[in-house]
Amino acid sequence: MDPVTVPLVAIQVAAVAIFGLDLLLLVFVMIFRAVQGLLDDRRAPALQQARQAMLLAAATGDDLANAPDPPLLKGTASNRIYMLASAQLLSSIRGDAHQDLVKYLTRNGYADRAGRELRSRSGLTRAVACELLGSLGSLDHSSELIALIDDRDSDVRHAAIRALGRLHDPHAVDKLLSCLSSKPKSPPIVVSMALFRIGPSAVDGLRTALASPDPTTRGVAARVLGLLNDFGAADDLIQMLSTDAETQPRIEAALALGRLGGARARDPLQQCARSANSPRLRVAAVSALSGIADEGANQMLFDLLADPDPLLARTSANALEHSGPKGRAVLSQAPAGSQRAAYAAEVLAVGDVERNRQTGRFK
Amino acid sequence: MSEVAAKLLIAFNFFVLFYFLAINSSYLLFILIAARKVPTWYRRAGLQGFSELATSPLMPGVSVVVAAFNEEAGIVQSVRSMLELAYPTFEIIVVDDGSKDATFERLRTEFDLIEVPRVVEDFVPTIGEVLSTHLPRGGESLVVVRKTNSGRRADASNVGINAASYELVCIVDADCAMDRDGLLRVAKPFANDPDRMIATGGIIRVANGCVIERGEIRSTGMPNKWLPRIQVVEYIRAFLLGRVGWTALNGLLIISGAFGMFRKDIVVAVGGFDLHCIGEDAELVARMHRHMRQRRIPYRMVMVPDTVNWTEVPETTKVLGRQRRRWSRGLTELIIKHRSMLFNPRYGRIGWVVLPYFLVFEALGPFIELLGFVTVLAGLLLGLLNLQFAFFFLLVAVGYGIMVSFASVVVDDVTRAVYRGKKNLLILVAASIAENVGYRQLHAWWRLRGVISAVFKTDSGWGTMTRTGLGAGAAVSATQPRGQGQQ
Repeated sequence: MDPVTVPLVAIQVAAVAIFGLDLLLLVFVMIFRAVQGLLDDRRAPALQQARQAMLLAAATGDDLANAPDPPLLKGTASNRIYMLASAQLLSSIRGDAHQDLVKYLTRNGYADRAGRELRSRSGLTRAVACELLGSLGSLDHSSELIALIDDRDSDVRHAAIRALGRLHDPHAVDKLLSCLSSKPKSPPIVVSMALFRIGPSAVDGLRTALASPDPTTRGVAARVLGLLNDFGAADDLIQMLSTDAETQPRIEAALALGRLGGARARDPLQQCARSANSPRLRVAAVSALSGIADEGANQMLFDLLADPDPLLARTSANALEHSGPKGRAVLSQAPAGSQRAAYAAEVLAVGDVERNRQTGRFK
Repeated sequence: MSEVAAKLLIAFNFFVLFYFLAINSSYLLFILIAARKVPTWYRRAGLQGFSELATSPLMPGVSVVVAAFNEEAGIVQSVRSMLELAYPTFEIIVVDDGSKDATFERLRTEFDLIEVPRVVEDFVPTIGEVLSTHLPRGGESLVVVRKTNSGRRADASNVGINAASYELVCIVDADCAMDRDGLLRVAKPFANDPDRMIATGGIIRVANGCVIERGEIRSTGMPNKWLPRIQVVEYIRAFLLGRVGWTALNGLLIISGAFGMFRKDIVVAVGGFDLHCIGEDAELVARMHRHMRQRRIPYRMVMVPDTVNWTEVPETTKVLGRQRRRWSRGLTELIIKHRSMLFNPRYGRIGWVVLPYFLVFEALGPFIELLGFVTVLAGLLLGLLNLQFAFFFLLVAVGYGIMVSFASVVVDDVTRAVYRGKKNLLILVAASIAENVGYRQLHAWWRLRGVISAVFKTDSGWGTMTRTGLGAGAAVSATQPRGQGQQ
């Protein structure tokens, strides 16, 4: 072949290949849409029927015998669709209707099926099964859910953690806390919410975790103890605030103490607010003083209105405003034209708007 | 013509061909990466625990900053829609950027605003003066800040950042319609990884043709005109798949100012939006990369593909051309400003891969593409190129582009299927072809002008804007959309 023909042939082949691929893509998408349409046409009525059955069960209450049986659960994809639909419906229903729906789904084998699907090869299916088991509130499979906290799929891990929170299973506390520091790690927010949902039965484990060598674990434990209003942990939290080697656990301890309230925490919080090295810790301490609303901190808060850190100054102003009439009186003493006066004017004005709205003065 | 010149001409033509193949192959790579990630994301969207997060006190607070200039047509609906976002702790900060219309009056009437002496700090530089701040008497999580206009949207955004109360700031366009759980979805990565995550972005889709009521998308639809239809394909390829691809490669350089969320402390540390840059949103992201890498602080930036902000796109070439010139100028300014990062090992992937990519394929792209067409024509006219060869040459170059565009459409179709029906599919096929035949060349011309205006610092104002707002019924006529977006 001569030198002109070779590149010409090559480019012709390339052109044909490219347009061939274009046609192939078009054919693919048309076939995909057709198949998807067929699957939707087949599944939609069955899913609709299943949803109606669930809603009827939720609405009929004790008269479950009248609720139609659900369609048979066939195939992994169908299983998954029904499980997800039932989990989503459960999460949107409350009260007696929720309990009735739980009974209906349990009676019709959804819980058993979900338990079996915890061992599915598909991560998506395992995750959906975790969601449903958590929504059903059955502890029958909680040991398997605990094991799934170490699953290789992050969505499965998180779904299992959320499920254990909804199940209020105290046996999961140690494992939940350990997954904060061991691989595979789970996000602190997911674990915190699960521990919070487990509730007071998690308190013992959380108090122990305040002494964990891992700072994330200590922080999460402090955070959740504050959310659970565990007043018994106050001394430990004060200790953590004052002496922990890491900043984040100290911040969590400060915020927890703010939630718990109580005058015991005032002095250590003031100490932090005045002299901690970390600006974030100082702000957390002032924010906590706002929660405590102790007038003994008013002078210090007033001093902080002039702090060069604007966030600290504003937080101090808010703390004074929230502390009550005496705090507001302190704010109004700010010298005119000063930074203190600027923040004071802001929070007093905003506070007035809020109070007027609550008392209906604006109506 | 001398033999040497003839050989150079032919060699350049081959170079252009390989350039076309390379640029489209890169798009194809992103599409293949996104084709694996996006379907998984959508399938698992219902398993992210959003119903718990929506009411969790542990979610970080978000300040949604909305810069508004002459937005009287739709500002009330936009704000109402944003106030109904499903998120536990947030505020909406509307910065009225010296509007000459009734933007503020409409807000004041609708929300019964009262002026309060709120302190707006100087965390990041601003030019315009803050005139007043207002809160609604009804207690909605809304702050309205009035300022003098400085001709820069970045200035309004910076004022919003300065007024923000929370640790995350979300910059959105005033005319966008956001999904109700959109804030939750872009904030979740921060909640899951609070130490490393510094920026996230949602994807932008074309609102033209959609039914929007009270600032919310009720149903999606194909635009009626061909220019926005072409942009539908373009946005799928560039904004959805392209940026998901860059995220997977840890090289996200552009988070659109139409919908981006940032850690406020990092934005403040880098000085906020650059007030003298046209493409201020992309430039901010580049500066954040620089800041974190210089300090060797581990960080992440991600696009969240199942979070959508719907925005009006231009329906006339005049407005679209202005927008694309501005985007091109912004990108070129960014590359010039951060040229010290190019091929600098200190900046890792950003310096070795991302910035050089944008330099070669985006900034220099219009020159090479347009010159390529000119030289092919010249070659034909001078008899240096075989007509048959030239024909197939163009067929390969253009055909590959069509294939890439259509592949994007296919990936989007099999994952989310926004545009249903055979008719819409055929429209998307036609738009994929049109994107590469005619539109691309016109676009290259606009981009070229943008690059030249950046290099020679000629004036490129925003121009005047007309909006009809995201009201009930089909979306709208020519506008001047904000935010940066690159191919």
